[in-house]
Amino acid sequence: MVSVADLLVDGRLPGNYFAQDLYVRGSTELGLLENRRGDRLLAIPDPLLQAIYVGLDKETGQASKMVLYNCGRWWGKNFYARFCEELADYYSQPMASLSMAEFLQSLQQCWRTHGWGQITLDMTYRDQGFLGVEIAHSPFTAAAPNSPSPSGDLERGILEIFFSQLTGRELVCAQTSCTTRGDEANRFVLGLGKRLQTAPALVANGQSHQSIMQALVQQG
Amino acid sequence: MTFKLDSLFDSADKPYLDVNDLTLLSQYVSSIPERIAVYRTLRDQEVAIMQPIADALQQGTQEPEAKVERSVRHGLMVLRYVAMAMLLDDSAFVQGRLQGWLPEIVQAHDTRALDQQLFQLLDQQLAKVLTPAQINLLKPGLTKARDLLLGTGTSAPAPVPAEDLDPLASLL
Amino acid sequence: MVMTPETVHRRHQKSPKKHNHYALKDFFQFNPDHGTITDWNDTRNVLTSEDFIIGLLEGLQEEVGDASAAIMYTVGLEWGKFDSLQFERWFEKEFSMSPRRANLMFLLATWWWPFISQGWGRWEVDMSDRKQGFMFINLFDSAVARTLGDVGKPVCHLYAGLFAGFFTEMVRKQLSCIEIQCYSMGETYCKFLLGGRERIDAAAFWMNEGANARDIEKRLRAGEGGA
Repeated sequence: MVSVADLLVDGRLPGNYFAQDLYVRGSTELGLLENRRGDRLLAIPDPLLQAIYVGLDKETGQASKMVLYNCGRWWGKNFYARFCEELADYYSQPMASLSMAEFLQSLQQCWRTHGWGQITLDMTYRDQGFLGVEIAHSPFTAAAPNSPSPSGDLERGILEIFFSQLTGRELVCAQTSCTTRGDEANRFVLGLGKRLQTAPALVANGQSHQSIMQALVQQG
Repeated sequence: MTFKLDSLFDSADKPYLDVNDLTLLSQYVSSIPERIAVYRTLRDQEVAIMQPIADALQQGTQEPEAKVERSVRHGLMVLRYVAMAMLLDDSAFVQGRLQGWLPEIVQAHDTRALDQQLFQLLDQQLAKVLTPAQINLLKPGLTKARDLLLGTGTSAPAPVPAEDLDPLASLL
Repeated sequence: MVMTPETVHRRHQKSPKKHNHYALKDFFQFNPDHGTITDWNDTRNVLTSEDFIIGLLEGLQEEVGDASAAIMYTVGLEWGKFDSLQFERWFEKEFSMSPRRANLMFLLATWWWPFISQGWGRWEVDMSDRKQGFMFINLFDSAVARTLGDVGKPVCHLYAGLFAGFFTEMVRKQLSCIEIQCYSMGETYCKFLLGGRERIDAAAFWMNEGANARDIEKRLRAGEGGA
């Protein structure tokens, strides 16, 4: 039988760790923002995001995509470490023993609370070895200038490193749709490098997410 | 969280609060002793209120104990948030804590049917320890929680079902 | 960003003239359905750890090496320019007057308040040398330097660019800015010098020669470094 007293041994009921009113704290006296663990947070306003795109383009031209991708990877590596540590502390158990539902909900809530939009995983091509990720309302591509090729390099970097660390495999991430070229959301596909070799050419061709996925799946 | 009375203090530009504002304030202030009494009852009798619900749930279902346990956890969590919302007179508090989280967890673990029963049992239990007037104080939060959890009017995107998730690590 | 009923700041709409709105719960509106954050002035914000700024520095370092400092300054400049446009718009709306007609100290304090809510640290402006054409800004808890720690050189190029970009637009005169003292050099706070290009170049030269902030202040006040 379920014993309620046993469920409440330490009085704690882990819930929505990233709930916004619990997670973000601010002190106007010090001019500081921090998360519920006391780690510093920064609010990056849209003008700064725009400035990053414009400034990098001015100074580094084509290389700016690479800079943003590298930035995403660096940021993502640390984000993954913090994310795991915070959840493990909160649930008082290692991340690996957390249920997948809790893990995924936490990731989605974390994304939303940070204002990074709405992230959804797409398992449609799981059996073919691909993981899809969709991000709606991305603030990053919203600040990027319109472009015929995808501009979600920051997100591509963060997702690539996050899921590589999560799965313990060296994954590659390609962006298949982007709001800067008129798509309604940013879509990404993750998989092993050799399975995604053809992706950059397909993306550069301006193909839709659906047709890129079809081509990737058909290559066997 | 948007504490209801905040809006009164937002109108600090006005020289004085008007009659309606003051009525609102005094209604809330005079209801505080009762709110604290209800809060104390829920806090001190948490186990006593929830154990009969857990037992009844377990007896009335073929579902595994782990699933019943999960549903009871949901019930405990909801009641704690509802109690706090009642204390603050702010049912948005419940929404802030549960939205984007518990409805998705309920769906992923497929506890909806159990949770539905749990809410009914909770109503019965509360009627035993609280007066109808006291239950009325809890109503806004309870209704909000029930709506969120049992899907009346949520537009949350359907999450991936739990059984699809476990192979994620070995997926690629 | 296009404002929709979900993302427009509702509290601000309700109390358009409320000036004291910089506490976290007033300044930011979280829009849970979209996963977006709108600030009091209807600008979209993104929360990050300091890893984001450091990642930008690292990403630049990898591609352009030491030029990363100059590029962070350029990013700051652009930020200051974009921000000045927004600032003029919301200042005018909130105070029913052009910022150009406002008292200077009031204008500066008002400009920096959102940055305080956004976690960029507190500042202090020293305008005693304004008539000579330069001024100092002290910054406490720089997001960049606090994260990098003691690396022995100034690192807050993003802030320097922000100040230069913003003030250039506001005073309609080409201004530059340099950080002459930094938390990352073991100091307790960061200090910036804002002024005409010639003066800032002179300060940079003196710094290269080993001058510290106090030396630079002294030389400038003695009239060195050009008009």
